[in-house]
Amino acid sequence: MQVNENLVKSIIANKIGVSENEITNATKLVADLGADSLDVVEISMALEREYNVTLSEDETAKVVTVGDIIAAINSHLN
Amino acid sequence: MNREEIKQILPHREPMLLVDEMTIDENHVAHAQYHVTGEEFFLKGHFPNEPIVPGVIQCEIMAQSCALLMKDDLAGKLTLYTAINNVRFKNLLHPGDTAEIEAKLTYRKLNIYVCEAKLSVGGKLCAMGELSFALIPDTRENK
Repeated sequence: MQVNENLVKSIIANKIGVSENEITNATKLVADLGADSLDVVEISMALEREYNVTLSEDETAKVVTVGDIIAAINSHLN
Repeated sequence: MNREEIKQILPHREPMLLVDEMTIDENHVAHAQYHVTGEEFFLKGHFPNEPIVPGVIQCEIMAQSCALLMKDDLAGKLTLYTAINNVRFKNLLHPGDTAEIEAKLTYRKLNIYVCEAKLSVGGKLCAMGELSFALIPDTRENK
């Protein structure tokens, strides 16, 4: 099973208040989208609940891009 | 835990200390109480001749009960709201009422804590919601 990348981007867009069209896997959550630490944790929380996985604090702290969080979730699904 | 013991944990002070008693049960759920005396500053203008505890104050009462759940992490820290989600107000809170708060920690990551809380009077639900907090270093000089 792999995450639905469009769903991930939709969740991120909704949490941060940006258009999904602005988001690619290379998009940086903080530098490009203006996310703060709460946004990153809330995105992590939403994805953990969606996929029934738990990311460690270390994994969450290392997330820089959208692709990073997709990879982190995928690593728990495989 | 009584009010004096609560002051050893929470940085809040009168007139914004809004928890009188608190216990944490074996499931790590906080059960707190706050008695509305009628002398609170926020009742004087909300509303003249019809005092009702404002919804934002009900959120603060719930928030302080939630903060007590983090007591083991609170030393040298302040709790600040980061989000208030899905809050609903069902019934009014009046002078003479004793608010009973139930709060539980539902998620924690890095310095962010997410709690669910309910505020009731005599078993009748007044407010409920999901409250998020960040713990930040307490850099005040005169604590």
